[in-house]
Amino acid sequence: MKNDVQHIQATLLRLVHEGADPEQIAGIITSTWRNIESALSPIIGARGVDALYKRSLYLIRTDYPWLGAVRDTVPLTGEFTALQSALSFQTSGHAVAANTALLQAFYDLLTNLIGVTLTDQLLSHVLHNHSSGEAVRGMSHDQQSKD
Amino acid sequence: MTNKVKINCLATGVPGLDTVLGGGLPEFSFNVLAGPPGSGKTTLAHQIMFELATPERPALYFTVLGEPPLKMLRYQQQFMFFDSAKVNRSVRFINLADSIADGDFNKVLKRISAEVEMYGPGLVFVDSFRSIVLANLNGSNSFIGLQYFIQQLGILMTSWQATTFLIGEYFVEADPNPIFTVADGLIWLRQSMERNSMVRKMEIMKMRGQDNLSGLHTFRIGVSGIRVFTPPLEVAGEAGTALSTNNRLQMGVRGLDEMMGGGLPSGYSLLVAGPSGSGKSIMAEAFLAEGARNGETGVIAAFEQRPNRSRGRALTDLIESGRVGVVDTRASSLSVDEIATLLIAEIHRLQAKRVVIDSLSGFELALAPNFRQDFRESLSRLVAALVSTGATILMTSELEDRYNDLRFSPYGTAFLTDAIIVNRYIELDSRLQRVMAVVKVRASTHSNELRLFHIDDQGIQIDGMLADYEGLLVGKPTRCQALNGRIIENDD
Repeated sequence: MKNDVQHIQATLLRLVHEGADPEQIAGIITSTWRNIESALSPIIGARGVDALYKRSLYLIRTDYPWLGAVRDTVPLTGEFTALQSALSFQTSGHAVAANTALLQAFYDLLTNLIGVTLTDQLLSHVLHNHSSGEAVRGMSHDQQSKD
Repeated sequence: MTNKVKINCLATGVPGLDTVLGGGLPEFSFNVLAGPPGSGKTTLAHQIMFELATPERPALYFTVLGEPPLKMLRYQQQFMFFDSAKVNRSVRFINLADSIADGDFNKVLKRISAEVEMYGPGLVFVDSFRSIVLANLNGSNSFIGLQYFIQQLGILMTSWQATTFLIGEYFVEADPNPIFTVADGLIWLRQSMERNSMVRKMEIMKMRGQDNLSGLHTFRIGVSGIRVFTPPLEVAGEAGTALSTNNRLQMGVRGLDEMMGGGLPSGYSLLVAGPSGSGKSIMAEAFLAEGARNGETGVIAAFEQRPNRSRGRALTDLIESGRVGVVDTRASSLSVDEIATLLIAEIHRLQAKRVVIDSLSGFELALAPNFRQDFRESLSRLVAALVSTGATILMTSELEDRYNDLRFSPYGTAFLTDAIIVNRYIELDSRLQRVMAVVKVRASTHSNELRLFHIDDQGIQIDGMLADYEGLLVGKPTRCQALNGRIIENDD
């Protein structure tokens, strides 16, 4: 998944380069998080995912203080609206950087708890084939049709 | 005409468990795994699940409140049986915490039904079931509601042809818990503490349609998971059951075979009793070395006070070359069944002909305190099971020198064995000398001589008799003189 985090970052940066606006970037990012949540919450429970997500936000708070408000929101219900809204107020570059740090913190936390093999087993296909891939493809199509 | 249903039994992959269950786990059974926290319920469930789950027979593992799933995944993967590659393929974890929060049984049942319908599992685990019960107690549902829920769950799982395990913490066996009535199988895990030792035990309190082994069975949890130690059973129909003195094994001590009437009959159990330092272990080593010389393999369970004490060179060589297998006796709080299981496994692995237990005294000390009371009974079962493999057994026993009575072992174990050799110290000419006698060789003639012996670099050397002395067994020989056909004691 480490590669997946980088892959997502690279894809998002490409989209930024191609002119995606912050709202579009925030939309793609939250759809990735929704996929992570739907892959993990049946196994570790919605509260389990929420705890890991909040902890990841806490870990990156120094570099991204503007994400602090997201952490104070009510337990997530798989919507990530607070994250989406916070990201959409940032420049696309900032949003991608913050998301990369957040994903990385989340990944590190999960691998510390249940190991790389199991984490990848649970998340790899979600991130690689499903989430940002699809969203990004959709986005690219949008971009192309706009062009 | 026999159109009766045949219940298929699944091999659980947990060493010893299938034997205890009476031949495996009945397919589509509805089972309860009960026991206090830390007794190994979740581990047992995972071990069975990872062994049995395949893409054709997938498993669903429902986690409820109890242990947070993240922690469970973290700790369970420390075991060798945990196969991450099976997760989300043949093994699926499903968290029910959200459904259980308001204590509505119907909601939980609905959720379980939906997941079961979606994945069509062959195995279902609900961990921990107690959480469901407790959540219910806080809610408005009644005892009847719980019973209804369990019955529905049982019906659902059986009709879905899923072998089911409810995992729960139940402390009171007398509790009229409806689960116990509905369940086909009830496996109880316990931990018994005595002084400084903790022993894990498993009991199959119920297993419908199976002739399971009754009683408490010790088990251990190691890196490969749970291993259950079954009581040693005599192997039917093997050579050892019919004793014959035609085939004899050489003892490896010059002169001893003659004293025993030609060697130790094959399949016999021999007790070598004697005080500390009288050469019992040396005789045991000679016995194994003689076997190796004849191409026979052996097994030794050595209960030494200092495990790192160097063994005899000959024995070390035999162990290193694989001709003698060693049973690990260093674990704490052993049970006789555990040693029996390990010994018999090793005998079968090496097809061993000679087995040594050195010594019974050390063995007793290594046992958990609560097994010591039953030592004699357990030992009797152990000896019977060992000889039923066809192997010949030599056991040593520490014997306190008592000069006012004649004892062969401190446990009354003498009757258990087919042959007995006793060593004693005697005082003679201001020296501590050793004597040896063959006390018993069942169904065989043997020497009744008390022979002096000494130990040198080559091992035990049997010397002559002290023909002119009497009172050797009380440790204080006195010279006899034959005069006019009478024996007169020399008092000086």
